[in-house]
Amino acid sequence: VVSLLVPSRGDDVRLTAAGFRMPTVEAGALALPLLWLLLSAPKVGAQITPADTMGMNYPGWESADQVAPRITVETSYDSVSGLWTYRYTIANDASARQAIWSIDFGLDPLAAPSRPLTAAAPPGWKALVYPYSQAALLPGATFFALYADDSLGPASGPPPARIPPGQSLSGFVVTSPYPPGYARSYVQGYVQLPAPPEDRDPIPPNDTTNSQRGLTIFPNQYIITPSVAPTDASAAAGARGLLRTMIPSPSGKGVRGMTLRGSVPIAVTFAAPKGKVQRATFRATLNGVEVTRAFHPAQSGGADFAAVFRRGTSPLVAGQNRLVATVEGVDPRTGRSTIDTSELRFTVRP
Amino acid sequence: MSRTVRAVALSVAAVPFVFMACGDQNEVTAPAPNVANGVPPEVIRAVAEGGGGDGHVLFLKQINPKTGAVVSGKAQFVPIASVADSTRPTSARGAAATAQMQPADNPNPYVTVAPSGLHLPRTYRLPQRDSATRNSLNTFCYYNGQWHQMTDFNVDSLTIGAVVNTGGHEDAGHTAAKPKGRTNRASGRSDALGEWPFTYYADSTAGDDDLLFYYTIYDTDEPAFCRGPQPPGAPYVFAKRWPELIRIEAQAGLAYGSITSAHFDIFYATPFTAALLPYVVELYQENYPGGIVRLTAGSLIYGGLNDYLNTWRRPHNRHRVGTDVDLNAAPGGGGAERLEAIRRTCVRSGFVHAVLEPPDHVHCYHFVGYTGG
Repeated sequence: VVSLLVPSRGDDVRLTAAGFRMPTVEAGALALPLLWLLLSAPKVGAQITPADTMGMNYPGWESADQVAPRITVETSYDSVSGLWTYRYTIANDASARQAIWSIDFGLDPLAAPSRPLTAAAPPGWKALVYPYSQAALLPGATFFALYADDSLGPASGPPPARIPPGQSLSGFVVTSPYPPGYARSYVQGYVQLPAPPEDRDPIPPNDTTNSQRGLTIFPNQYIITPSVAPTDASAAAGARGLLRTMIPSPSGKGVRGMTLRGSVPIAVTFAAPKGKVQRATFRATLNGVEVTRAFHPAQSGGADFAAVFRRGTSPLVAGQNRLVATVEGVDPRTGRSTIDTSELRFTVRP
Repeated sequence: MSRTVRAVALSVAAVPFVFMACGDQNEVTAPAPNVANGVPPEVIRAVAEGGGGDGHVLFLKQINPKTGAVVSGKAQFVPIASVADSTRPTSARGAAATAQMQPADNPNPYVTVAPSGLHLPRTYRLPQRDSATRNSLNTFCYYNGQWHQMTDFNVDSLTIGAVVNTGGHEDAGHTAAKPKGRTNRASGRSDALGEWPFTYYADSTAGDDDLLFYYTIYDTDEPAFCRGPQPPGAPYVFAKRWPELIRIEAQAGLAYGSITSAHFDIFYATPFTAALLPYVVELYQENYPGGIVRLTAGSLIYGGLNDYLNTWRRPHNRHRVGTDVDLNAAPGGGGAERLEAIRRTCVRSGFVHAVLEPPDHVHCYHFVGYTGG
């Protein structure tokens, strides 16, 4: 259920009861382009989690989950174009038993970035995008390696640009006006399957189960609704209702009870009616260190500001972290000027 | 011992049932369809619709196997003029059906039987055995304004004929005769209640089956007209169908492939599956602007075995229940890249599964848990 989000100053987004987004121009998008080197490793090292292969058992069949992916994301924001660029490097740990041949990113539809959503792939790979629309049950993006001979397909052998164990490949790029959040990742190994027996019509498992799964950074439309947030521990609301902070999950809502790895995206939204919040007074600290400048206007999403923090290049630490955001405005209940504070505590795995 | 039921006078509440006597067009008032007199209304109606003269009626009932209650019934009237005609009515409705082409199926079948493997909503699994229908046969005789229900008769033979060119199959292009259903008995005496129960097993190939009964009446206290060997009843039509499939509508960005097998139309699907295809097209064109998705196969009009090799056998086994479609890219199929793009687009747009079936198409389906069969 999506309830009405009254636009705050800046008018980034309006969520109607029907769930349609009506983005408007963000007035304060003047930040210089910044670059974060972000690391999100949904599956680190040699650990391979068996996929749900739904009882596939005909002779020669092999699941496509025997890869050990490590996804590195580099994001940058261009305040002129208002676009975020996500550059991915996909590594396949030496412990993998298969070469990586496809990477999928998927979000819940309401969290998915709308158009424009573009993607580019390195040579030998193909990129597909599935922006938010009624047609996309699982929006996101896909990259897959191409066969050497397009007309022969699998008969021409494994895709030459696949990523063998122990190697990595860069050049996977996604561009969107939507700020970073979490998306699910599905990484598949290449398997040359024999034809099934003639008396069988086996159904292979869905790509989202026959793969190594994890979370990684991807454009995300945060879904933050006043009706949900005050009682939702995943989104830390300010005491006076002027703002709230959250770590956006693939569903677009806040991550709850999850120990995070790698990069941590944080979204801030002003929940008070337009004119009640002085956006210029927004401040944020992470573990006591000023990080206000790390936040960028989220032009088209459900949040007003978004930032991504990474250990080593930010105050983010392993273990417990504490983000405190403040903003000045008018308390909608008393009509008096006030400073509202939202505090977000979360844990990052070493 | 027979039970004679007299045609009763019209009750005050009964609506006169009027039928046209065959030949002279005189109006004759028939017995009211009053169940209380023991004659099922379907039987009375069959006589009326058959001309109202003397004759025999075969009454076939479908029985709920759990409760024993009659689910439905259909009566076949054989007028007196036909008594002398012992020529077996053939299953040659197919001759007319050939001209009629798709669909040739009987619009008003006696029983709709889901063919083998079509119990998707209940089990999410295609059963291995054919669907069964429990039935019971009664015989009636209408003579000189009186109804007689026969309680002692013998079914001399029950034969089944597959009606050609039904179920979307063009029989002439197949390598063998169309599979037909079967029954658990082909002859035998009625029981003490004048019932002749039998079970019909539908084949997994959709279409119509004719059931033809030759029988002999042994009731000794019935008029001579009613006794003795009888002409065969007109064929009962058992339709083997998976209902509620709709034709996938042509739309921008979706082209039909050519039908190369001996079938009239192979582009049927459940409403859910059909509704997914515009989404596939939209997402495909998001990445290939102006690209055309080509539908090369769905299900037959009434589902069931979709034998694209025209052998009444597998492969192509899953295209039975309207949940599966085959897609590729137009023109020319698209090559491996576009096929893989379509495969992934199917999954993104709502199909549960999609698999590349080299060399020329992608199989998309939303059927969960199906284990083949």
